Amino acid sequence: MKNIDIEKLNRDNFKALMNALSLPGTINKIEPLFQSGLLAIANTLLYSQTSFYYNGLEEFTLIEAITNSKSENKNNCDYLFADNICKTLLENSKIGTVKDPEFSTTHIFKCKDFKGLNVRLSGPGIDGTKEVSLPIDREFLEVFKKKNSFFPLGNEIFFLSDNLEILALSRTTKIEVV
Amino acid sequence: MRYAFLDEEAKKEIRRSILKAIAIPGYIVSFASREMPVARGWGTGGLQVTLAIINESDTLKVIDQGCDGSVNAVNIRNFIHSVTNVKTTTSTKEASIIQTRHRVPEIELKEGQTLVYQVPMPDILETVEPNTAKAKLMHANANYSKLWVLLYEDTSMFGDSRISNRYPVLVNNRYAMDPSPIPKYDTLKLNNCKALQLFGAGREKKIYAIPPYTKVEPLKFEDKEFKVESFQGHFCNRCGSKNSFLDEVYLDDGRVKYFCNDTDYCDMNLQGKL
Repeated sequence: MKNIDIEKLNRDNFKALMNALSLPGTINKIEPLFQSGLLAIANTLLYSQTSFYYNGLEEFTLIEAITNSKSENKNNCDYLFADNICKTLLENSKIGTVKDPEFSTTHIFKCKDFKGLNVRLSGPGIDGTKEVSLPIDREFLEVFKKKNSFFPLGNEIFFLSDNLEILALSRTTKIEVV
Repeated sequence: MRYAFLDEEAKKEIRRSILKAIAIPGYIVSFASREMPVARGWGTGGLQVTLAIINESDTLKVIDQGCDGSVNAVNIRNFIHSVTNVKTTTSTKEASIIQTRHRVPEIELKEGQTLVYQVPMPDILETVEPNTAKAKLMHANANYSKLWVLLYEDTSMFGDSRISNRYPVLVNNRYAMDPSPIPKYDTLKLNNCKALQLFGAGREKKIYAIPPYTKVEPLKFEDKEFKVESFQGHFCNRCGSKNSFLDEVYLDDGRVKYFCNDTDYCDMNLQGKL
C-alpha cells in the first residue's frame, strides 16, 4: 500500500486555498487525497471544532473519521461541500453576525471547469479589476450578491474543477457581468 | 518532532482563523493560541502563523526592527528552520515568507510574498476602551468615535497626533486596525501592498489580515496631512541612503551617527543592487 503524507498534503493544499482566497479570481492547484480533490480540501479544512454538510456522492465518512469533525445541517454548518453548484444551498447558509462575522459558512462547490459567466471582479485581493469566467449563472450571482450585500456578513466560495484547480470568491469580492 | 512543531489540529485551527481573517480584512479573529517554546510576548503569534502556513517550497526571512541579526530574529529563524528544514535568507526579494517585528521592509514586496507581523496588542481600541467586550461591540458597529476624539484632542492641543508608532488605520473602509508597532514611516506601505499581510498576537490569541491590493488608510482628519518621521539632512553612514528609515546610534565618544534600520536594504544599496 502506498504511503500518503496527509499533513504534507494539508499544508500544500492550505497554501493553495490561502492563495486563492487572498487573490480572488486566480487559479491554484489542489493535490488529491484518495483520488479526490474535494476530500483533500475537506481534510485540509475540517477538524474537531468545525462542522460540515455534504451534498453529494463521495465517500465522506472516512474524512469525518480522520478529522473528527461534526456533521451539521446545511443552514448551520461551518463548511458546506457539494458535488454541484447550487444556489439554494448558498441562499440558506449562515452569514455570521456583525459581532462575529467569522461564524459563517464557507462553500466548496465542485464544477466541471470554470467556463460560464464572464465577469469583472474587483475588491481586496484584486489589482484594480480582473476579468474571469465563473461556472455560475446570473441567478446564482444574484444570490451571491445578496448574501454579501452587508459587509462584514457573508460567505466565501471555492470552486473546484474536475482537473483539480480551485478559484475563490471572497465576501468582499464585487462582481459585474461583462 | 512533527513538521513545523505544531500538531495538525493546532495548525488547522490557526489556518481556519487565517482564512476568515483574509475574507474579512482588518477584522480580529480569535484563535486558540498554543504554548510555544518562546515566552509569550516574544513573537509567539507571528511564529504560530508562520508555522501554520509554511511548507517545503518556502524561503523564510525573519527580521526584528528591520534587522536579520538581532537575538529575537536569529532565534525565531533558527527555531523555524530546525522544525521545517526550510530554506532561509536575509534577502527581502528572495523570501516567500517574511516574519517581522515592528517594520515593513524598505524594498517593495511583490505578489506571492507573505508578511507575517508579530503583534503585541491586536486591538487598536484598547487605547481608548479597556473593556474588550465593549470594544468588540464598537468594531461591530464601526463606532470609532473614541479614536476620533483621541485624535481631535491631540490635534487641538499639539497641532497633530502624538501617536509615533502603531498608528491606527482603516482597512477597506470598514475596520479600524492596529498595524502593530510599526513607525508612521511604514504606515503608508500597508495600502495597496502586493503581498498578503498576516498579523498574529499569541498572548492575546488573535489573528487578523490584510489581503493584497487592499485599501488601508491612516485615520486622520481631512484637513490634516499625514506626517511621517523625517530624517532631513541625515543619511546612512554605512551606505549613504537618504531614502530609508534611519536608526540614531550614539557612539562611545558621544557622537551621533545614522544607519539604515533595514539591514538588507543597506546591504543591497552598498552593493549597488537596488
